[in-house]
Amino acid sequence: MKKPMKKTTFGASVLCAALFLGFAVLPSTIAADDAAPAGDTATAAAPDPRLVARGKRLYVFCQACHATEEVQGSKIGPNLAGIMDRQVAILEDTLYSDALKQQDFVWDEEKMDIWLLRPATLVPGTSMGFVGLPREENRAAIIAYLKTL
Amino acid sequence: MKRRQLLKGALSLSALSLSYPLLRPAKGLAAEKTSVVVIGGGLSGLNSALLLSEFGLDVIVLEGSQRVGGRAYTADGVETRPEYGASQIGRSYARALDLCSRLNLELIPQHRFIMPMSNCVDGTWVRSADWADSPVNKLADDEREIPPSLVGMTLLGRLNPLKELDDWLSPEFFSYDVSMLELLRKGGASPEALRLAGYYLDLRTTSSLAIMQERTRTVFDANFGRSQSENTETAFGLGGTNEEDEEIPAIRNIAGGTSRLPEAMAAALGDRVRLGKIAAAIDMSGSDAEVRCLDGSRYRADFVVAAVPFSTLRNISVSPGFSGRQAEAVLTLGYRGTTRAYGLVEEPYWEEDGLEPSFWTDGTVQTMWVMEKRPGEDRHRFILTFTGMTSARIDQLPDDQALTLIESEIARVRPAAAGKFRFMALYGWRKHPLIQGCRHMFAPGQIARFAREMIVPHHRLHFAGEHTRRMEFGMESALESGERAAVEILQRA
Repeated sequence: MKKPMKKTTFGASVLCAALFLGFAVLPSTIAADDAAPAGDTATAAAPDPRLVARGKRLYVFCQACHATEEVQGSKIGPNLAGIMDRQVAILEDTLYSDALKQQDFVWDEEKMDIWLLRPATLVPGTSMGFVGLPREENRAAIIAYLKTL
Repeated sequence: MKRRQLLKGALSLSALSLSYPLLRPAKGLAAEKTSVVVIGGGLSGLNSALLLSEFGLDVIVLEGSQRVGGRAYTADGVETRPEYGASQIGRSYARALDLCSRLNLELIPQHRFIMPMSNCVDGTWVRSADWADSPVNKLADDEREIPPSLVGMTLLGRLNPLKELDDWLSPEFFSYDVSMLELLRKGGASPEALRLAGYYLDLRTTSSLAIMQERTRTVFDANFGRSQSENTETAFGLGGTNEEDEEIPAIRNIAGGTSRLPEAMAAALGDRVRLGKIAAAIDMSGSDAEVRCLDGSRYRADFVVAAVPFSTLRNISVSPGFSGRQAEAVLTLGYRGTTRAYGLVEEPYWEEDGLEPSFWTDGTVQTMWVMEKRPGEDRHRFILTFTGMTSARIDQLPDDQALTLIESEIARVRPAAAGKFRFMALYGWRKHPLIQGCRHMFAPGQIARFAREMIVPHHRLHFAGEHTRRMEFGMESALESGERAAVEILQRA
C-alpha cells in the first residue's frame, strides 16, 4: 500500500502540502486512547494496529451515514459491518442510488481506494456525498479499519 | 453504543461540576488548559467539540453571545415561535439526522405550504396564472413563464453545468466564477430578467459558481432516495416538496424548534461550553496556543478551531498573522443579510381584492408568503423576506421604524391588506454583532482565488463554519465543516 501518490484530485496538492503539515514537530499532550480492536483476528494478515487506530479516527467522516457494530444509530447509508469483500449494493432495506445498484463488483482494496478518493469517479451519479481523501495513507487507514468491521 | 455512553457521561459530568462550583478554575488570572479551544458555539463549533470529546480530547467552547446555536435560532419568546435562521433538514442531511437521532430530538414534516402568489410589477398587479401573457411581463420569450421572484435562480439553473457536489472546487468550472450579471448576460437573459433577478441578490457582487454549488446540493437532496428526478425552483432554502405517499418527508423540522439541536449538543458538552466569551486574540507564537477573551480570561490549548464567520474572525488578533490568499479570504469574504418579518393575518384580505394571498413586488416590500394554516391554527401566518439590497436597505432602520415603514408600504401597494395583518417580530441577520450576516457569499473570482486555500490549517488554528463547506448546504454545511476540523485535529493530536 505504500506507493508514492501519483494521481491527485483538484486541490489535493495544496491540501496535502499544508493540511497535516507539522505532525512531527508538534508536541502531543493527548495520549492515543484507541488501539486496534482485540477481537476478530481470524483474518490471515494481522492488521497494523496503528493504521487501524488512524482509520478509526478518520471514520468520523463516515459515522454520520454508516453504522457498524460500534457506531449505532439510525443512519441514511448502509451498515458497514463486513463491508470489505462484500458484493456492492447487496443489503436489503438499504438506500442505494440507482447508479450503485447497477454496479457489479466486490468491495476489495482497489475499488475502495478509488471510492474513498472520490466516490463519483468510481460510480458517477452516486448518492454518497463524500468529500474524498486525497492522501493515500488516509485511504489505506480507513480500509484497514473497515477490514476489522 | 460507545457514543451514547460518552454522551451520557458528558451529561453526568456536567451535573457534577455544576454541583461543585469551587471546582471551576479561577477566571482572569491563570490560563485554563485544555486540548482544544473551539471559538464559536454554533452548529459547526459544537459538532467539532462533540466529535473531539468522543475521542477523549478535552475541549472548551467559547461562545460570544448568551445563546448557543448561532444561525440556528428559534424565537421562543414570540407567538407562533418562528425560526429566525436555519430550520430545514433534508433527507440527505446525514449529520443533522444522525445528531437528532442520538440526542433524542423528534423530527416532524415541514409544514410550509405557501399560498399562491400574485405579483406587483411596475405598480400593476398580476395574478400568477396571468403572468406569462401579461402586458406587464417584459421578459423574453423563453423567460415569460418564470414567476418574477424565481427569475434569477431559474435562469441560473438552466446554465448550471455542475453535476457532482464537489465540482464547484474544480478548476474545470472556474470559468463560472463570474458575477451573476455576467453569467446571465452571456446566457442571453433579457434586461427585464436582469432587473427582476436583482431583487433576489446583488448580481454584481455574487459569484455564479457559489450559487451553483448550492443549487446542485439542493437538487441532490430533492432527488435523494427517489428514482424520478424532481426539478426544484425556490427562492429560499430547499426546494423539495413533501409528498404524501412517501415514507420519509423531503423536508423535516425539529419538533419544538431548531434551537433544540444546538441546545442538546451544548448540554452534552456540559460546562465545557462557556457563554459570553468574546475572543479577542489567538496567540500561537509560543509552544502552544493561547486564546484571550475580551473579559481577560485566557485558555491554553494544543489546537484552536475558529468556528466563527470570517466577518467575526477579522476582529480577532491572530499571531502569527494570516498570509497570502488565506489572509485575503479572512479579510474580504463577503457576508449577506436576510431580513424577515413575521406576523399573523387577522382577516383574509385577498377575499376583498381578488388577488392571491402571497405576493411579490419590485418595490420596498419584496416577498410576502402567506402560509396555509397548520392544524389547530385559526389564522394564517405570514413571513416577509428581504434579501440582497432590499434587505440592506431595510436594515438601515431601527426595527420599530422598519416595521412601521413596511406596514405603510403594504397598505399603499395593496390597500385591501391595510389593517388586516399584525407583525410579531422582525429579524435582520446583518444586525447580529457577532455574525454580521445570514451567510457568506463569494464575490466573483473568489472561489478560484481562495476557496481551497482558505480552510488550510494555520499553525494550530483550524477552520469551521458554513463558509468552509466543501459539499453541503444549510445547517448541514455547518455540521460538515465542524466534522472536518475535528478529523484534522484528530490526525494531529
